[in-house]
Amino acid sequence: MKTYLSYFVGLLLCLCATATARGQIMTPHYATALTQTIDSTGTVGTITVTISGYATVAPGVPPSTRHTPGALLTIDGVGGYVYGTPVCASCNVYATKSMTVPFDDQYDSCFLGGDDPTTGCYFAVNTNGQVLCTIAGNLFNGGTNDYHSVAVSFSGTPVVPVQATATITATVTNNPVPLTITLTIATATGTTGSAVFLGNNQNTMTITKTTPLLIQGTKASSVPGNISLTAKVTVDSHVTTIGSTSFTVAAVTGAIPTNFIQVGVTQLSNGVLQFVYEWDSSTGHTSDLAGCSVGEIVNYPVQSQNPGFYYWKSPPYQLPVEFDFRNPFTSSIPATNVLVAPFNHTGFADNQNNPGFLSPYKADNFVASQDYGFQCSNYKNNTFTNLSVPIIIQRAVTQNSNATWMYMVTKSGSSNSVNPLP
Amino acid sequence: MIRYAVIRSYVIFLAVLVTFIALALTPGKSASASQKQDDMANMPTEVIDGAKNPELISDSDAYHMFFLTHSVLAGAGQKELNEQQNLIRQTRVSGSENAFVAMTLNDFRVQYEELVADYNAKATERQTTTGLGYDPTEFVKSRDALVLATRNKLRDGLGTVSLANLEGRVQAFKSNMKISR
Repeated sequence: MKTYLSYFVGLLLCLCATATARGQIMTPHYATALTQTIDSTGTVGTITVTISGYATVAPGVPPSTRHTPGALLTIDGVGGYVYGTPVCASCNVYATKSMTVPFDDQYDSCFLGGDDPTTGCYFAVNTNGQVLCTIAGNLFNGGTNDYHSVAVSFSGTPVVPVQATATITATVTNNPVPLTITLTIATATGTTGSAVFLGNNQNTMTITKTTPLLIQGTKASSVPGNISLTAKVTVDSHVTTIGSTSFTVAAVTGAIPTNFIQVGVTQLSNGVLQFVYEWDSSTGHTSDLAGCSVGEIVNYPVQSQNPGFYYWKSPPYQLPVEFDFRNPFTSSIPATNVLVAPFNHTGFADNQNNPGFLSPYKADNFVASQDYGFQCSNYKNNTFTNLSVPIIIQRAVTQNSNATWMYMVTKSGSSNSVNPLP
Repeated sequence: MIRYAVIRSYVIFLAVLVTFIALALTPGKSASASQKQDDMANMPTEVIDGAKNPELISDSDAYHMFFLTHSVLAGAGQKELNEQQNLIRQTRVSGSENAFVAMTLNDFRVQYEELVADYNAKATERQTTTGLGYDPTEFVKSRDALVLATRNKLRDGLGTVSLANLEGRVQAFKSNMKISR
């Protein structure tokens, strides 16, 4: 009997070790940093991206495992990765890449804050720091700030209650000067409907940085979505629209989700792209959203031979039976769902997955259209109400110049890839 | 009868053990559900973006990366030295203190590179010979102590205004960082 016991205890230990190996065997502790300078003559700017750090490693790592750090820097699409020395799995990695740009009127509005977004500020800096592991793939992506022209995006608040307030967050990007941004609420269509900014009770206000706007509905809309909110900057008498959204003013009983906003995006392993979204409640208390859910409807290309499904082209993709191929794909989560730290706010994380890959690879390229929205038992009889404009998700498998293949998924200006495909 | 009872208790024990193992290795409900083309969860992978949450980046991490990016390796060329001067000028320490800051940070870099080289050598040997990772605890302790000693050296050597400017620069530097946790 002791023999049997030893066998089972050994089996238990063995299985637990396997579980550890199948789980997270490396914990990354990496950091990226971006610096920028102007030389003493004021004519040459330098941008540098640096990555450094180490990983803690669980037992069972093959002795040949190597980690290679990469520092990405491109300016207007020129440049690329510089890779540091491959080192052991626990080792401290380091990689850095610098590039220079002429510092003049063409660039200064992006670089340190010039004064003309209409003629300057159109050079884009993209950076990233990553660590490639020979057995676990990419362990870390730490892209730092991109520099583009000043812009404003608005969170999703499709409905502002009449005689009550709702929040719309105006997210300002790349406004180092800073330029004054004028926000205007107007009735774009229909005969009635109006709202004002709470605080000054006017239909205009100015901001220079990201600001949560408290909007008060004053008259119900005669047409859905007929109230516009526009952001403009004026430079040298030249007015440029740098962002806009629209909403409905309507009577609402109880709470509905408002201020739907992307707060994070992360490149996970295997080409998975993860977005994190948050939202608020029209009552100011997210616990009031118990009668609501927030979810998505994703429409894939229609395959007449497979009504109700979209089967990804195979190859290059696998078609595992456990993968959910419904079309349109729908899912939702209670509107009271609270994200874990550091978010600690009502929201969810949404992964753009893939079903895996199958060789011999073939080129494929398709897009899906994603709508986020809410459903509340207390609003329009649980009808799906959009919280976002349609978002395009593109997935492509293409062949590289060296005959290997790569997969890339792109959404909302972010992307992730598997390159090369195994 | 007694022997039978003992054997039966072993059998029950083994059955419980096997059941425990099976339950322990069975994925939870969410994991066993079919994978979706787009799945929602509340467990995002944590990469702290300093541009959005600078308060979540520790001073120790910020000073570590600040010192690393504002120092040069021993034997650096004139181009690297000039770029270092451009970086230090942004900290708005007084002109006469620039050289002191550069010297202090480069002294940090020499010791830092020695620490990393020593740690990497030990970690490489351990992985190669045993297939095990190397415990980074002592390395991190030494690194953080070096960062702290360098901060103290700057605190002792800089004037009040210059020190405040430099410390403010490091806090602002957090917005240009991303770290994994």
